[in-house]
Amino acid sequence: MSGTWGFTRGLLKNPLGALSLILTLLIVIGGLFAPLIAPYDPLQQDILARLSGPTAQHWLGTDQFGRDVLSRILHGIRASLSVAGLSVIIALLIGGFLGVSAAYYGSLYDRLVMRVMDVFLAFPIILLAIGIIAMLGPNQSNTAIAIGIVYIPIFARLVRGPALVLRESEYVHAAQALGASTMRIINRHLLPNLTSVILVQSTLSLSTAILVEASLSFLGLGTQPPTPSLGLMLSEGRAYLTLSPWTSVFSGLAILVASLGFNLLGDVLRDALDPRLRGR
Amino acid sequence: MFAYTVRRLLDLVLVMFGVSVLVFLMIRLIPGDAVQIMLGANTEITPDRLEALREKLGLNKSLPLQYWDWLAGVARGDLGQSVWTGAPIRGEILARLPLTLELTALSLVLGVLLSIPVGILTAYWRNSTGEYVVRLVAIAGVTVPSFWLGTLFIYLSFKLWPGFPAIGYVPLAEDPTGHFSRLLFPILSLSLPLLAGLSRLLRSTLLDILNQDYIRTARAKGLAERVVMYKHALRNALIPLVTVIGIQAGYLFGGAIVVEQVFALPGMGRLIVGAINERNYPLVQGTILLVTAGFVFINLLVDLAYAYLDPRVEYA
Repeated sequence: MSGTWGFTRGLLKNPLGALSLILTLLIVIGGLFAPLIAPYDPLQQDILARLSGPTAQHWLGTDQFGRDVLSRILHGIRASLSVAGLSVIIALLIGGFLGVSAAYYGSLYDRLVMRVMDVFLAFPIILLAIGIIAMLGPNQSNTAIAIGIVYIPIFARLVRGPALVLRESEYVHAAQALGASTMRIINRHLLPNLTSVILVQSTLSLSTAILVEASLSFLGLGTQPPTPSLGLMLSEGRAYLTLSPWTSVFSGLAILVASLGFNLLGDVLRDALDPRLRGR
Repeated sequence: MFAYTVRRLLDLVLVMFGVSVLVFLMIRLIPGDAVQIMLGANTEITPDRLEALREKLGLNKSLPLQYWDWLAGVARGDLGQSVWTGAPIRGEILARLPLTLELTALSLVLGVLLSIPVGILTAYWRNSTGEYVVRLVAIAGVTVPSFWLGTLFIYLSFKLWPGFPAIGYVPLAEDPTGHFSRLLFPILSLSLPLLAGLSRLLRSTLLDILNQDYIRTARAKGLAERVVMYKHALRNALIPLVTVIGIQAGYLFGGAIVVEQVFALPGMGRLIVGAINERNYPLVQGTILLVTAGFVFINLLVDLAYAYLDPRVEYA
């Protein structure tokens, strides 16, 4: 664990690393403990206090039904983190498996898998996600599945390259010669060497998945009302923009902060874990 | 170069075959009875109507035969008919596509053009403050939701200049000034995030290049810094920029679909969201197929341009 602590201290010395850690911690704690921290029930209406700006009672104001914007944003972050997190897990497990197995087994299987990945990569991201949601029906878990499927080829390609190099490395040949099973080679010798690329890509993917989820919710194709969702709040707030811009402004800001935090973190991690890419 | 072009064309055919199969399977893979879901969205379900729609969509035949019929139609430019209006899908898409393409293309051009001066200027700002500020601003720019940016633009223009037509659409032929003033904010919302990403890429490429020996030689022989930058450094630094343009165009198109909704623009965004809400699957299918084909083609052009611009690329 001292290695992890030393690593974190190193990140904190870099101003951007410190900022990224603070932002992601804020977002993760806010989302995780939303039901505990939120000052109000996100669905509780106070019609007399509707569309108010920031006040002592409602720090970020209220929406068109008088619901507390801060509480809805915290619950929205929770929804957006769970969709983004689930989609990255789906992409990582399936994409990682496909990439490593393609590299390990090679030949026809490799070519077939990577061809199929190319086909998925040919679609513009949002359009493929929209197509999958059109099939499955719009709701929160289908959004996670759709984004997960869209990200599978990214992870498959990401791990295939380094896995190909590792497969030909002397210690893998040595392990094979000693009679190690395929599973053991993949688990013990390939995966541990891939953790840093996977960690960086997962963090960056969380950042973009938050944006894609928000876009889909904004279009009405993601999380469905009345569940609080950042994209949906931004969209609904637009009808009252001239009267009270707070709902739209703060929900959009929350999307930005969440996505920015993870993206910065991924960027700083990449620098720390792969010195060759420093300053890119 | 010729062999490379042929090889890339073969790749394209393979990828498009895969894309067409996936898009074709879309309706067929819908959990439950797609026909029932489609009908249920608008009318009462009766066995007769179910059978009629099934017949109309050709769902009674075997799967490979269905695919063949569909593909043959697509090859003739027939993407099928809208389930509800019976109008040809091709017409509906072609009526909406130009606006979205215009939005995407103008945003791409603006983003690329602006990224060159910004990339060059920031490449000269090399102390640690510059390093941090450029990174933070670039990453913030990449992660800012364009539909939020658009919403902010609408609010600000309402406060600062209430008469400005921030929302809505006017055809180009009717009123060119009104047309472009209504596209100003959508284009800015899409191109600012692009500018952030591209100028960071250009800056980091420039920094690598400015450290190379041939740049030192150019400076040592007394060339003006302007000549070193534009003739020696920038030209090479633009090559990586070209390679990401194909991918960026795809992102921008997706962004445009969302941003159109912010500004009430009648483009592909409204069409596809409407189609999903009405369960008009053939329309969703046609849109995805057509747009994806467009981007596969753009990426082919980008690859060929890249191979042409950078002689180091192996054609093998």
